[in-house]
Amino acid sequence: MALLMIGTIFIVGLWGIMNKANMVKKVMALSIANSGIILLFIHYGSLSGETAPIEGTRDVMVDPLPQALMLTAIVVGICVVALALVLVYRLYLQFGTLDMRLIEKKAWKLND
Amino acid sequence: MTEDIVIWILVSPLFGAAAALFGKVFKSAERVFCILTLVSFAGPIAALLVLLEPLLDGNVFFYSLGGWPEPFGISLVMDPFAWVSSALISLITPLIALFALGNRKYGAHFFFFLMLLTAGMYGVALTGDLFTMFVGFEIIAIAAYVLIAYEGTPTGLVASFKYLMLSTTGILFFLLGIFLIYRDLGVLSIAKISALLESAGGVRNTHTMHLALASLCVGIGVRTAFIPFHTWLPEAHAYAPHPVSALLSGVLIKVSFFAMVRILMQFGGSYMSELLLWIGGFTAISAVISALAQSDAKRLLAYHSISQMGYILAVFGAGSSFALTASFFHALNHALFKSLLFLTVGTAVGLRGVRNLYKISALGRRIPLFGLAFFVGALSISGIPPFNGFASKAYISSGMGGSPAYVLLWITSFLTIASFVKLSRIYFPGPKEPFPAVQPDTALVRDYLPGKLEHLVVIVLALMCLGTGVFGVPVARFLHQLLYTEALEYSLPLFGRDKLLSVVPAVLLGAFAFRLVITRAGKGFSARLKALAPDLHTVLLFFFIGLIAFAAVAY
Amino acid sequence: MKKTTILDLVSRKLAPFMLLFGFYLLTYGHLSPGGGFQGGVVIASGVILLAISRGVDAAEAVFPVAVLTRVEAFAFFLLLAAGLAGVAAGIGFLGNPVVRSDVQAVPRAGMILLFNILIGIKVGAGVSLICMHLFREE
Repeated sequence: MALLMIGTIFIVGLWGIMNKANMVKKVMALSIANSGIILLFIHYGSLSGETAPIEGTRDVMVDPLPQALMLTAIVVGICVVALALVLVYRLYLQFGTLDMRLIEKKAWKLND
Repeated sequence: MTEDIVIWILVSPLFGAAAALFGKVFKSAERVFCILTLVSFAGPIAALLVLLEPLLDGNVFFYSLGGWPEPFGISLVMDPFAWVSSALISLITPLIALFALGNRKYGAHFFFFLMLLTAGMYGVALTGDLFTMFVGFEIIAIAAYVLIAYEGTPTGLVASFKYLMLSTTGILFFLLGIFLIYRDLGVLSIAKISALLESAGGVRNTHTMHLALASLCVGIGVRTAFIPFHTWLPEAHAYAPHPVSALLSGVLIKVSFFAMVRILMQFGGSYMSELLLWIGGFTAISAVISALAQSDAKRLLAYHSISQMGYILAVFGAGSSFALTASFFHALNHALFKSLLFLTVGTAVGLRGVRNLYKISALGRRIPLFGLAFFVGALSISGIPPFNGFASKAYISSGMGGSPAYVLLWITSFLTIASFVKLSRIYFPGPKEPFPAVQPDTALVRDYLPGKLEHLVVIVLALMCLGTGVFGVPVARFLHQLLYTEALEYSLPLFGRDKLLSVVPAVLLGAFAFRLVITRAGKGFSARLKALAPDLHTVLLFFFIGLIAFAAVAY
Repeated sequence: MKKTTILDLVSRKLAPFMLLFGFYLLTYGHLSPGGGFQGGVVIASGVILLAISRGVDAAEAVFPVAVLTRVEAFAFFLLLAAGLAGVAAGIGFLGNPVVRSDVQAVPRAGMILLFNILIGIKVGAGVSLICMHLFREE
C-alpha cells in the first residue's frame, strides 16, 4: 500500500518533468520526484525497528543508515531546486516567458 | 602511515575553495587568493606521486573518515582505478585553472566553483561506497551547472537548465539503484558488495540486482553522455565559458565513465559488454555525422566529444583486459587533445565574437602559436602519427579484435578527419580566400587575446599530445602494469609499416568526405540534420527508452 | 514587492522566534531531529522573512552583506580546520579527537555539536546572502 503511494508520487514527478512546459512546474515536479525516492528509502528503513536512533536506543532503533543517507539527499535536492529556480528567474528576465518550448526556439535562433 | 595521505587528495581542493571564498571577501587581494587556490593542487599531485610506488606493488589502501569502521563510515579507496582517475584529474585541471587565471574575467567566484568541482571529482574517483559516489556526483553537478551558466548569456542559462533537468532525473535513478542494492544486500560499501556477490556466484541472478545495475548505469550514463542520454551535451559544452568547456569535455565525462567501469567490474556486470559495444559504436557514428553538419564551432567540438566517448565505450565493451587498457589510454589522450582544442577554438570564437565557423577565418596570422597548437590538436583527434590519437586508435583497433562494431568506428575516424578539415578554416584560410588584414584592437580583442599564461598552457598541452603519441607504447604498458600488476605481453608495433600505411586510406577518404559535404547536396543535408536537435520533451523519452534497453539486456 | 499589513505585523513578531528556533535546531541536532543544515536554513528563513516584509534595506541594516560574507568564509574555513583536528589526533578526517569510553555523553558527541554549529552558521549566512542578492537585483 505504501509502496503504491510512493510509486505514484515518483511517477507523477517524472511525468511532470516530461510533459509540463512551464519551467516552474518542471522544477516542482523534480522536487516531487525527489521526495518520492526519499520516502521510499525511509519507509523501508523504518520497517525493522521502533524508535529513533539516538544514543541509548541501540536495541530497538530503526535502521539509521537510510536516515543519514536521506538527510544528505534532501540537502542535495534542496540545493539543486534552489539553483534551478534561480536559473528560471534569470531565464524569465532574459526571455520574458516561462514556457520552455518558446525559450528553446528563441535561444537557438540567437546564435546561428 | 601512507594511508593517511589519501585524505589530502580530497581535502586540499576544499582548502582551495576556502581560499577562493576569502578572495571574495577581501576584494583587494582577490588575485592573491586565486593564485592560492592554484597552489592547493600541489596536495593531490604530491599525494598521487607518493602513492604510485606502493600501488605498483599491488597494495590497496583504505581510509575511513572519522575512524568509523567499514559499514558505518564513509570510506575512501585508493586502488589502481582510483589512481588513474585522480591522475587524469590532476593532470588537466591545474592547466585549465592556469588558463582561467590568465584572463581577468574569471574572479574568485569562478575559482571557488572550480575547486568545488575538483573536490567532487576526486570524491567520485576515490569513493569506497556507493553513497559517497552519489554525493560526489551531485557536488560535481551543482558546480557544473553554475559554471556553465557563469557568464549569464541566455544560451548558457538554457543549456544549464536543460542539463540540470536531465542530470537530476538521471541521479534519481541512481538513487533507485542504490535502494535496490541496499534492500537486497544490506551494505553499501563497494568492496563488501562485491564480496557478497562473488560468494553467491556473480551478479546474483535476481531481477532486483539486474534492475539495480541497470538503474545505476543509466544514472551514470546521463553524465557520461552516450546515446540515448547524450542530448544535453552539445548545448552545455558549447555555450559554457571556454575553460569550463575544456574541463567538462576533458575530465568530467571521463570521471563518470571511470565510476561506471568500477561499478561494472566489481559487481560482475560483464553481461552488459555486448550492449555497451554496440551503444559505443552507434554513439560514435551518429555523433560524428551530426558534428559534420554543424556550423557552430564549439558545438562541432562538443559532438566530437560524444563521438570519442563512443570509441572509449565501445572498446570497453569488447571485454578483455587489453581492451580496458586501450579504453583508458584513449580516455587520457582524449582529455589532452580535447581540452587543447576547446581552449584554442574558444579563444578564436572569443576574439571574433561570432560562433559561426564560416565567419571566422585565418586567425593563424594573429596568434600563430595558438594556430600551431590547434593544428596539433586537430591532427591528434584525426589519428595522424606521431600524435597521441594515432597511438590510442591503433590500440583500439587491436582491442576490438575484429568485432563487427569496428566498422562503425572505422567510418567514424575518416568522418572525423573530414570535419576537422572543415573546422581548420578558423585558423588557416580557405583555398579561395587570401589572408585578411590584421584586426584592430577592439574590446573583444583586449578581453580574449591570449597572454603568456594561456600560451604556456596551450604549448604544454600540445607537447603532452606529442609526447603521449611518440611514447605511446610505454604509456600503455605502464597503464596495464598499474591496472593489472602484470606486464602487457602483446606489444603493438606502433610505427611499423602496416600501422602507418593504414592511416593513408583514412586520410584520403576523409578528404573525399569533406568534398562531399561542401557540395550543395551536402549543405542541404546538413541543414536538415541541424534542425533535428531535440527539445527537452523528446530528450526524456529517449532517456526512458534507454532505461528499458538497459534493464532488458539481462534477459 | 507589495507589502500587506498581515505580513508586516506577523513578521515583526515572528522573526526573532524563527532565529531562536533555528539556533535551537542547530544545537540539539545530535539528540532530536535537526542539525546543522536544517537549523541554518531556518535562520536564513528568518532573515528572508524580514527582507520580504520590511524591505531589503531594513534586513541589511540588521545583517549587513559584508558581515555575512565574512562570516560565511570564516565558517567554511573553520569547518575544514576542525575536520583536520581529527587528522592530527590520528583518527581520520572529521574524527573525534576526544574518544574515551568512560566519559559522559557530551564530549563524545561534542564534535558533532561543533560541526553542527559551524555548518549552521555557514548555511544561514550563505542562504541569506543568496536571497539578499536576488532581492537587490530587482
